[in-house]
Parts: sequence; C-alpha cells; structure tokens
Amino acid sequence: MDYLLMFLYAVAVLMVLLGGVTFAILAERKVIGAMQLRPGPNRHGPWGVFQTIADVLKLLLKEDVIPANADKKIFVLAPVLAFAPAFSVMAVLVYSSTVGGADINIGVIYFLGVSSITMLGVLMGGWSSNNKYALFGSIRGVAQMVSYELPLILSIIGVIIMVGSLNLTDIVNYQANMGMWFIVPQFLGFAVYMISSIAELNRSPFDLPEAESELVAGFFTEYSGFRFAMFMLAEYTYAIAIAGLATTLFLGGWLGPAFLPEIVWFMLKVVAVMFIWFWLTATLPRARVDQLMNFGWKVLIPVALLNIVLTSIYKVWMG
Amino acid sequence: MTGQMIFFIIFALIAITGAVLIIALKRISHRVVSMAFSFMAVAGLYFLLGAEFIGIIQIMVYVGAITILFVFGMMMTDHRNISFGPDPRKWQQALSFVGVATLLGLMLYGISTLDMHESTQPFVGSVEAIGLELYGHYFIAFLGSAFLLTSALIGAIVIARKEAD
Repeated sequence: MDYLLMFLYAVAVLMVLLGGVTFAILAERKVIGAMQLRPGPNRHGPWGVFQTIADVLKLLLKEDVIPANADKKIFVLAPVLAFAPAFSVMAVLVYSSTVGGADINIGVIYFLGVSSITMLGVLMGGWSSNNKYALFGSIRGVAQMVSYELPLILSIIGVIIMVGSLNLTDIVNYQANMGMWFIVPQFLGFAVYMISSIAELNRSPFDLPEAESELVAGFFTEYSGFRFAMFMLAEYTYAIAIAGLATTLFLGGWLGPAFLPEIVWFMLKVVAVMFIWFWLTATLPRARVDQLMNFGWKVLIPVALLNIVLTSIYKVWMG
Repeated sequence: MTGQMIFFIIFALIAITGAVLIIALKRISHRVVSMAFSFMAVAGLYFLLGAEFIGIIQIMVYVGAITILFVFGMMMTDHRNISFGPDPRKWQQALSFVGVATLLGLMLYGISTLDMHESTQPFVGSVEAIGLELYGHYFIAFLGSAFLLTSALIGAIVIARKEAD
C-alpha cells in the first residue's frame, strides 16, 4: 500500500512537471522575446499558449535517426540517464507544510548527490554520437559541471551550519522561526548558488556545452525526434528542481502571507528564480571557456569559502 | 514476501548483473555504464538498510566521481587490445576455476555461519554518528588520509606539467 502511494505521488509529480516544463519553455521564449522587443511565439492558441505542445507533437512524430557509426546502446540510453536523476531529485523537495516528498534527514545531500549523475548522461550522449562537435560539447559540459558543483555545494553549507540539519522541512521551519529568509543573512551564499547553478544547468551565459554558434548543438547534435525532446525535458526538469532547492534554502520555501495557499507561494518563488535565469539569458553574452574556469575556481570558490568562515564565526559567537 | 524483500532482490540482481557485465562486455563504454548501474544498486541496498547517508555518499563518490573519472580515462587514452597470449592453457583455466570456486565456498561458509545479532540502535549510519566518530575517535587517521590525498594531487599535477613541457 505504501509503495502504491509512493508510485502515485511520483506519477502525479511527473504529470505536473510535464505541464510545468511545457509552460517554462513558452515562458522563456516569451520573456526573451519581450526583452528583445518582439512578440515571441503568438500563432498557436491565444498568446501562443499551445506553441510548445505543437513543438513536442512535432518532435514525437519525427523520424528516429541514429547515426550509422554511433554506439547504439549508449546512444539510446543517454537521454534516459540524463532525465532519470533530474527527476529523482524531486523526491525530496517539500512544496508546503503538508505536501512533499520523502522526509529524510539527508534531503540536501540526496539532492546534490543524485544531481551529480546528470553529467553521465551528457557525457554518454556526446561520446556515443561519434561526432566531433558532440564530443567537444560533452567534454566542456563535464569540465564545467565538475568545476561548478564545488561552489554550488559550498554555497549551501552556510545555510546548513545555521540550521544544523540537512532536512528540507527543518530548514524552512528554521526560517519561519527566525522571521527572515536566508537570502538576507546568507546573501553571499545565495549569489554564489545562483551563478553556479546557471553553469550547472548549461544555461546562457555559461551555455558552452551547447554553444550553437560554435558546436551546432553541443552534446546532443546528433539527437533528433523524441530523444532530443528527452534531453530538453531533462534540462528543464533539472532547472525546475534547482529553482525549487533555491526556493527552499534561500527564499523561505512555502512561507508567505496567508492570503494565498502555501503551495502557490512555493511555485511563485520557483517562477521568480527561473525568471532571473531567463533575464540573464536575454542580456548577457556567452563567456569564454578560460573565463568560465577562472571565474569558477578563482572567484566563486573563495567567495563561498569566505561565506562558510563568516557563518561559522557568527554561529560560534551567537552560540 | 514483503516489499523490502522484493526491492532487495531487484537491487541485488542489478548489482550482480552489472558486476558480471563489467567483465563480460567487449566495449569499454558499455562497461562503464554497467559499472554505474552496479554502484547505483549497491547504494539502493544501503538505502534499504536505513543507512541513507552511506548510500548517498556511495552515489556521490562512486557513481558521480569514479565513473566520470573512468570515462575521462577512456577518452584520454588510446585503446589497444592487450591480452596474455593468444590462447590460455587448459590447466590455467582449470586452476583459476578451482581458485574462484574455493573463494566462493569460503565466503558462503563465512556468511552462513556469521553470528548476526539485532542491533539496539536502529540508525547506525546516520550523519551525526559518522561525524562524531570521524572527527572524534578517528581524527588523526582522517587528517592523515587528507594529507595523503593532497600530496597525491600535487604529485599528479607535477607529473602532468613535466609531460606537458
């Protein structure tokens, strides 16, 4: 019975997620369009609402092309390996004080540990395609994800020191008792988290693994049809998950004035975090590889370490 | 049969199948993927035992880091087929079979006669317990391994730089 409930919860989350990803893609195109003074997609349905649905249908109906020299088994497995961890991290996110996934004591570490597998999908996809652009994209992608995972984890440690627990519910309750969201006392950590999450998600301005002007489409150059759709789904699922973690850790999770339900507050904050990413996509040019690496290792990691030291001093001082 | 038992059998099958496929498969990229699956299944076994922290560290270190390391090794090196002679002798095969069978027998005997008593503390692998042990009782060993890893890292960089020059 328990297992049935878990299964139903997972299916429900997947369904909500598919809808969320559909409209996240539409929102990205609309927001970037508005920032560039053009209407964006506006043909399918009122305000272009059905654009992504039409795109997905087109992708699903396309011919499934596998290159002749590709490593077929790995090629087929790679989109699944990219999507599975991005969806599994949803298991620990807590959406309100009543609705949430597994209430385990190591929620934050589970999220970070499982999300580190996403690069296996990127690597396998690029390597098995037997294509130089795809290989370059995947090497860049893994180098970038390995480098930026460190500041991402280090930026969270400040919050964990303050709370003294890795449980996501405890973290939100601590913010409720403190009367303040962690974005105020942990602003350095929040800034590092936001920047390194962009690199972790391969989004512009750090979208080097899929830089279309240099690498065609990066690690999924050879993918088409529903396998391509799977990679896009994985990317946006992971984006929503990371925005959800940012909301829980730094923006007070489901906390907010009572005139809206808790879960609506959570979703509004996720949308706000994703809007910041779209905004940066529309405004910033792409960074070079050496700039990206120098910035990660020489700026973000020291700043994150400084944040940990300051937080520890504060914690010891205040008892 | 309880749900826990069903999941144990599933994870155990995946772990063993993955481990066998690492040896049996021909292409090294396939081997790396089967290794990742095997490690994931072992992590699942830790989760079943209630040792969530160790399970997630297993995923982080083995699936997230070691597998990626192997894939990088696979990309950066050239692949030649190196084998020990064209045909292994019959008596070599027989000898290795006897050795493996003896090891399996000894291990099965050891496991079957193991005296497992019920633990009084249900969550041995919790974060607090591991942290207290690591930073309390085993602090010197912890620092020693940290020094060892740092020196290994510096050594690797020195060797790589020498080759690059």
